[in-house]
Amino acid sequence: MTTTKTKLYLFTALLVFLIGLGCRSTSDRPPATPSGTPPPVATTPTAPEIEEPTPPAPPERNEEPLRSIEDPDEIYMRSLKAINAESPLEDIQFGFDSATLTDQTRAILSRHAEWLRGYSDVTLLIEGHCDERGTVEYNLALGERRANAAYSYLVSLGIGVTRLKTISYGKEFPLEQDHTENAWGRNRRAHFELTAK
Amino acid sequence: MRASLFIGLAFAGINGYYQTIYSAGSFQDQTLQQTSTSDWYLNIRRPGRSVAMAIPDFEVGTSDASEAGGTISEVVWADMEFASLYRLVPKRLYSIAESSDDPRKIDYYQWESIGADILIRGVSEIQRDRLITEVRIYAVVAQEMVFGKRYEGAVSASRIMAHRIADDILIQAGNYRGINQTKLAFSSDRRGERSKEIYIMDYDGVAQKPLTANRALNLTPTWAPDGRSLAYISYRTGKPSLHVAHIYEGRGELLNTGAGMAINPAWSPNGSEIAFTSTRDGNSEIYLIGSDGNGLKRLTEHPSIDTSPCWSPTGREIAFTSDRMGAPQIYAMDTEGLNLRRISYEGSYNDSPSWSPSRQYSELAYASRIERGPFDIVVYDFQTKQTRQLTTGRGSNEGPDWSPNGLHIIYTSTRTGTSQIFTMNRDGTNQRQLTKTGNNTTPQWGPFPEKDS
Repeated sequence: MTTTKTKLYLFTALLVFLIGLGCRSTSDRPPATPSGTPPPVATTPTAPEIEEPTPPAPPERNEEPLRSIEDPDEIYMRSLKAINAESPLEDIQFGFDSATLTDQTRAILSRHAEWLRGYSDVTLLIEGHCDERGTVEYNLALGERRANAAYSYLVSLGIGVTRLKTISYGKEFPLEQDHTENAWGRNRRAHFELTAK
Repeated sequence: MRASLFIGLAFAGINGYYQTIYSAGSFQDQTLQQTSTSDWYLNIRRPGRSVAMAIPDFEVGTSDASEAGGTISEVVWADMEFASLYRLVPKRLYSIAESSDDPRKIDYYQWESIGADILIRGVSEIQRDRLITEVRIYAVVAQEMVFGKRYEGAVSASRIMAHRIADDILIQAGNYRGINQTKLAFSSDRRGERSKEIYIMDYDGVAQKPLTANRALNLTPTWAPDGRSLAYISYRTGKPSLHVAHIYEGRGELLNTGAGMAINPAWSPNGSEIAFTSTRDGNSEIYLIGSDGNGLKRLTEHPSIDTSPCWSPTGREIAFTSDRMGAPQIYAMDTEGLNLRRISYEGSYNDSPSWSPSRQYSELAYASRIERGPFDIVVYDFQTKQTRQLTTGRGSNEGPDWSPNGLHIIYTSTRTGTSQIFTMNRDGTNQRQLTKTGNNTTPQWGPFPEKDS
């Protein structure tokens, strides 16, 4: 069920993100297809036949984007796990074998910095990830470099170094399992995990 | 005269949860006969053709030994097939050569007529709950027995006995050091998506057992040269750190490598040091640390990524990956960090170097992206300065590591859809899949077993 929940959250987060973006271009993102619906869970033969329940409607509160600093209390009312499941700080993507920030990713990091200034108790773990096309060993080093790129830029925007930590997961934890350009692009990322609030 | 019998046992140590693998039981082996000269084998070699070996199924001396004896016949045959050093005479021809009236009598002319240069015969029986196998090697044309040995061990350890027999045959018939008793270590996610544990298995993929059980990421195992310890990277403490597991003692330790992350360890051939990558000084550089955790030495100093160290068999040089010229390429330096030279010039992305331990060949295997697309395993020959490609475009083939005799390579391939562990010969033939469950990565071929005393 964890997978189902995660997928649901991801789906919800994506919806929220799209709403948040408004009329901005989304051409470089994968379309929000019904594939977000979880696959049926295999039941053991002895278990009674139960229809796989349709995913419940997203909880009401999810419709307000958490990254909005208009609702400053919300973050204190919810668990870190619940908040992180929604990835309130959007991932940033990188080019193949690159840890270079672009104008676009710098703009995202600027928004993250602004958000972090609104929650001075929040600390972050910046995870560097890679796509499957590199090797295990080199990707562990490359992921660290990606996490560091995000770290350095946030520090340059005035976020205290004590609030930020980095880790590399190389290609061990891909966000997307597909073997497509689109999936690889989403997997080459820095991900932001709240570790305290 | 001792052989290790691997038994997995759960053990909750101070440093986390380990599967203890300890030595239990022993073999009492006795050499029955050995020719005074070892040149009998040289006499049967002919240029241009491989030596042919006949290995009839071992006889069963007592009826209760039929199962164990069957296993021994099967495993010895499989081991000799894997070694790829002899032509095995097909079993269907043996009925012609086997004398029907007296199974003990050897009709050398008949064995010669079906093309056998060497005949291996064995008999297994159980005496007082112990499995006993006698093996004899005959030089067919010379019509003489050149070697005989009596093996004794636990009935349940028939596979291990068979591997000992196969290694002895390889030594006696050609002076090849076999890898039939070596172990392989790798990382596997078969227990859950968000974790990888270190596993150990026999060289043929049998007896796959977890070494770690901490539900974190555990990656890139590297064997101590005595085969009694493994160093690996674990995220157990929150950041990737260098751990050592003493696999027969069920204990482990965390080596203090300072700030930053530690990744991609490689144990030195003399056992005293571990090379690894660390970001303790700001970006990925290569360091050495004593395998007891003392002494730390920095070898590289460059703003690019320097990673994936591996040792030359002499322990005097280290090959590694660096993207200092743009894309990841293979370089080598000495253990002072000096005499840097670039090794790989072909391929747009090269990583995971592994230096052949062979005394015969001076070679380096690595994963290479030759065109756009997945990786293939290539071998660079230091003498000819040529690179040869061993795998071709079936999935992505990565993470090569040599067998201790330099005749085989272990690697991973995604050709079945998931990442699985394969072995092949040093010329790319004899590709075999060893794992099927989950995704299995970063395999390392363990050393020869400790020498018989």
